[in-house]
Amino acid sequence: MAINLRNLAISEVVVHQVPKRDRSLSADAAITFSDAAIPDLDPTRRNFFGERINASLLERSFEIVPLPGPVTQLPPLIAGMIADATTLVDASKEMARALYNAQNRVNNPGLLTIVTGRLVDEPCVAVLKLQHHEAMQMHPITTDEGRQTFSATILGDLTLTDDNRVFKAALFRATGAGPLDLEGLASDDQRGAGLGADLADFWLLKFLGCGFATAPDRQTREFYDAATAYFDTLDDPEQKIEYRRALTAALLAPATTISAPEFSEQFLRDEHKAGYDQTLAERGVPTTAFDKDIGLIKNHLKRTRIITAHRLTIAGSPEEIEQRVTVEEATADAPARIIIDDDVSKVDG
Amino acid sequence: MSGDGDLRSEYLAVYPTYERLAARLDDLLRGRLDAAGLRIVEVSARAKEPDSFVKKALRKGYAEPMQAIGDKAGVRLILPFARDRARVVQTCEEVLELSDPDDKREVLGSARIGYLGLHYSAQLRPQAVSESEADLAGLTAELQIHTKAESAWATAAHDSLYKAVVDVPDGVARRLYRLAALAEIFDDQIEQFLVELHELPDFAVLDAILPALDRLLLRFTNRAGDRGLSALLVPRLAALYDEPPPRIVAERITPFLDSHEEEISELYSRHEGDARANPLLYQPEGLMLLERLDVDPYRLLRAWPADVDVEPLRRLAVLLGKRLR
Repeated sequence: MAINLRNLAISEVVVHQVPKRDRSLSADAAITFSDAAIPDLDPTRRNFFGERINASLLERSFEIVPLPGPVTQLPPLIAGMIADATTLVDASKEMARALYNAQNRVNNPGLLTIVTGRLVDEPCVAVLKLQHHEAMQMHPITTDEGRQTFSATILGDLTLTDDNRVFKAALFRATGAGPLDLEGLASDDQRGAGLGADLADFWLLKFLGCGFATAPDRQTREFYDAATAYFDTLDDPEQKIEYRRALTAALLAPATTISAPEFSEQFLRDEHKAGYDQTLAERGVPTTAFDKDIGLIKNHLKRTRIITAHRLTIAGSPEEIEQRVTVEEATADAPARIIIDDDVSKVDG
Repeated sequence: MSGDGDLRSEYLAVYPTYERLAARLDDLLRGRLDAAGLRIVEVSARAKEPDSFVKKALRKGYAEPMQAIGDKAGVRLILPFARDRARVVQTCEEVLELSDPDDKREVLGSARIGYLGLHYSAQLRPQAVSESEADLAGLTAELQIHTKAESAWATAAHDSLYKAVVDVPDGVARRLYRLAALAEIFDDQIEQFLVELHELPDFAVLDAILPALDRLLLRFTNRAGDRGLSALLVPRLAALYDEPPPRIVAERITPFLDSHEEEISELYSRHEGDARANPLLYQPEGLMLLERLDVDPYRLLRAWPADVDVEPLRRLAVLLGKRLR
């Protein structure tokens, strides 16, 4: 079952500073470890962490599960932490070492932040890699000459700000008692951004040791089937065609990932969004992003078919249908009309 | 007729029972009126003091004072607004058998002014009498319903005119009766004011929704919101429902809160002591926002007033695991 992010409550937070990989330094020599969780975490700071984690994962996340093996130490460490929160500090140090050792010189340094908490009544663990941000701070001041003005100070050590997304994040909960019995959500601003596979897969595969919960080809087909099922419920034929065309274009676009909410945001009218959400939820399509693989639906995408009430069929490539076919909606006085702007070249039968 | 001593003894024998009847009526009506959203009504009840009982019997010359004096126990309800009178009577009838209505306005007719109020004889309905208080069944009390203005005049008149130790000359008494006219005018003006207030744009919507939301919000927090912001948001939010405003809270918000009680309580308790807690959580209409974010966040975002910062709404959505796009 997909993780629902409502009511994420934060318990403890541990931070380790993980620098850029330097092959001349061991992990223990390079990393600045914390020996304790952040002290006196009050409700304001707990909720700030919770909101930023939620915001990051809601922006664009993927449903993930540990890969068998495991391929990295992370899943067993996280499962152990969920089972026993007192392992937080020691296990998070292991995670920091794993991050340092998995990085190469192109990976940015950052603060590995491990968070324990609860999702409603289940324990959960969040893993974040935060980076420093810069911002300008301005304060009203009075000059020596008594003139009113503003100071301007560059702050270069901001880590988690209200406006910025968390750089990389993952949140896990247990699905059983085993070391790989986990499911989670992960966000990574580099995934799907057209970067090299190595860089894009670093966070998910090489560090977290996870892969997608559902195979991309199956997930892509489920999304396609659910979206088209919703479009078919609409009364306006022109609207159905427009949405199908947008869906085909989105699935054939060069981007390597796709997300149902982003499609809705980009292409659907407001009055159709709630119905679309409901249909996708009923069919179990996640609201997270996923890697696109059109292997199972490519035949559907090559041809668009319009079937009329009297079972006449118009078929063609999506581009030809868009350019040459116009559907005029039925009015009180006249039925709907389909206009094909083309010449008849052949009649069979 | 009995002698004074006999009458006093006879009344003293039943006096404790009427004291219990008065206390029961006080408790019962407070609970009912609160539940009906009429907490603003003031309730007071008493058993008639033995001295007063005997004096009244002598003054009126009753042949059977124990039967004739109907206010051995009395309850007085004082309403801020005359318009609530019918609802108050209806609420009382849920637990009381009311008879012998006596509307003093009708008695006075068109050409006289004086004491105003609505009186009934009242008995507890069988379902309002427990086994342990079975002796209260069938006893009669007097129920008086006044507006605040009527009550103010009645109190002044009772204390100064009727209890005066001398006969008050007409010219002096007239000063008091002229005030009775003012009490009537006061209530009529208030009523006219309320009619015009309800005709103001958005007032009816706010009046139908906000007080109920205020009460519901107390389930989760004691912090109070900003009324100006409520005035801006509530009419916009009300337009997102198919139900008319008076039904929105009962039919949409309360069931939503009931089914999400634990989750919403946890949300509020997590923000207790949070210096940057989302201000919308403490607005009464925040409860509508939680419901709309769950049901139809898109229309909610579209209906958001352009002159109100949308960022707190986006942050509220994040708390519920939703991203407003």
